[in-house]
Amino acid sequence: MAEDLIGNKKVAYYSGCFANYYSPEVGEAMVKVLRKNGIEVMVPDQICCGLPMMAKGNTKGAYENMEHNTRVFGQAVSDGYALITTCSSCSLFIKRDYPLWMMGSEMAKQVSQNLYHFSEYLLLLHNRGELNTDFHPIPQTVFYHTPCHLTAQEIGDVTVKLLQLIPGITIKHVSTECCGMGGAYGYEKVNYRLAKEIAGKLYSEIKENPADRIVTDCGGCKLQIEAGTGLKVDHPVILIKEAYGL
Amino acid sequence: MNQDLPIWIMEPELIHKRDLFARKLFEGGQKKALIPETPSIDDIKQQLREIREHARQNINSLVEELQTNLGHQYQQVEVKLAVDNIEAVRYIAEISDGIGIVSTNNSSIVSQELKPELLANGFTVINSYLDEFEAKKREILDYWDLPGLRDKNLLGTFGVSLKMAGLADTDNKKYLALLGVNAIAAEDGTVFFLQHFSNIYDDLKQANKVILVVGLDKIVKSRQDAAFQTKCMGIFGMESVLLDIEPKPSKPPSIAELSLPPGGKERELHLLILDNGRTNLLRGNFGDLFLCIGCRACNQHCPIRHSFTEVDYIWTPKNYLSQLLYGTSSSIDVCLHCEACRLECPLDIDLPLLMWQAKIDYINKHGRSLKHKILGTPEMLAKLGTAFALLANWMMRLKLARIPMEIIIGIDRRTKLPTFHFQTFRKWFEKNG
Repeated sequence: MAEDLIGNKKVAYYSGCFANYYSPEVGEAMVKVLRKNGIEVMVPDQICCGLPMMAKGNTKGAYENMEHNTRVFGQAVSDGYALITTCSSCSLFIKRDYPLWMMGSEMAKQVSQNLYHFSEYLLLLHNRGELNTDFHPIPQTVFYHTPCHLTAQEIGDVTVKLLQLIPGITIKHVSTECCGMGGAYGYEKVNYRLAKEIAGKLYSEIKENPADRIVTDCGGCKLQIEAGTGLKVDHPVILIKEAYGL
Repeated sequence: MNQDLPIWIMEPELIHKRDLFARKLFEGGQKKALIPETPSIDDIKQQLREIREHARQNINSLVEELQTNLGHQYQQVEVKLAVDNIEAVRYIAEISDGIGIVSTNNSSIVSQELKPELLANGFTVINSYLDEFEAKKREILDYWDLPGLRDKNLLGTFGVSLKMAGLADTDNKKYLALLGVNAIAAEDGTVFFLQHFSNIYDDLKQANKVILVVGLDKIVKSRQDAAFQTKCMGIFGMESVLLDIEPKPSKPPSIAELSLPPGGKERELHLLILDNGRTNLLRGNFGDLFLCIGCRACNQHCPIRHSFTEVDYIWTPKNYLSQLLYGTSSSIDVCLHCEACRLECPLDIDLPLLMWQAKIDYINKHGRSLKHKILGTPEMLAKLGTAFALLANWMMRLKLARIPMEIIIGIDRRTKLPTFHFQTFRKWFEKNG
């Protein structure tokens, strides 16, 4: 079923809040990358996945959002669209938690099974020989930070593998250290010191492995790294867009 | 029939290394090594799962079987079934005979469930494990320092190193030893401990009164199952145990100072079966916690564990959740939901899901704070920020504005908040779709 949808070259994109409100360039890059591959892109009417609401105990609101997104993206699946996200936290929550909280919902299962993290999707496309690999070289070193919520999806180093397709890119270091941000967790006064302590290891790794680019899939991790190091952090889709010369 | 209760102690051993060496020696087909293949981690997990599921589904009959067998075969052991920690500590106080010093091992059942109540009842609680760092200058072997041990399949590296029958009559010191057992066989009462140093054995051989504490979840069917479960604690928990091996100063008094005069009180062995909320767990949404063997694998990659090195019990995400459920902690916001614990658990206990459930239950009972109500609507805040992007971005850089923000919604004034944009991605897409 899932493989068939990939073959359809039709994607419904769940941008999530971060790419919509705080990093619109990520969403724009995603659309351009998909179009470069001849994929029809749809951005359905969507709302927050519910994860940050759940974290603050707004379970009723979270559940309503799950229902809304399930209905909208479930329809997209029925219409033959594969689903993708650029946010590893949204993708984890939709993939794993939607079917758990919406027990018995066949549609939630369908949404979960047909949702891919963007790099997972592009790699699957590549494995089918259908990814446009007409990349311009980017002769740069990359420090890649794996968000915890990408690790938790148990889909392997999909983003690293995708970036390695770009000629000239050298993945200098892959870090799996937690950044301590956890959505709004690290923003809260009660957790601020702890979040910075957790991030300490990651900051040290960045210092010990200087690279031309720091890359991560998670908006929260990006903000925490930027705040702690003063260095710019990019979403991996930005590098893919650059490699296409877009 | 009256026998001495079998108490078996497992320790790390080097058989696995020997086997590997033997296999290498016989490579080349000249001789066939008679070393059995070690099972895969997946096979071990499967077997463990079956043992734990059996324990969960048959807890009532297992408790009954254990009590019957203990009563028939080991009459020198005083057996007590305690409903909760209060009843357990009341029993300890009754049999203490005026002895006020209790030595405990590092099991969560004694350190977290019983210790606070012991302290409240005036007992002095010491941990001979910590004492060992100072008294014996034990060094951590190179064995323990190897990274990624679990993936190397360590079934052969834990074995029964000591088989005791009741309490050895070697010494008699004036203290109580309260030892949380790692597993016990219902069919014959065999008690299992996993020991990293020699503190448990020392307590067993010299404490005037030894109280073995058996959580209901530690009771399994057979001696074979109990041995396997204890071994699994080592296999899956080794790296987390390593994380906790940090010399800490022990508290006085030292056990060496607690001698009893010759001909003093006879040594006693007690066995305390403790429910303390476990039966209730099985009835509700948290029944999977009953599967836990206490290996601490969930701690291995927990990002916040470092913050709890100063507490005098072993902090794990599972223990944190248990404290919430037993009502001994009211903090529901410590976990940052990275889900690393779920990936490590050998029994696939979905701790993150159970954490959510505990949070929901807590909020249903106590409601939400204003801070939580505001932060619990992140998209509304984002929409507001976008609608007034210029103002919002300016205000977020203004220290004067950050102070009330910190007071009302708890956002630390030192944090750098993200910038709002005039045009959201979805607006862009509408124009470029």
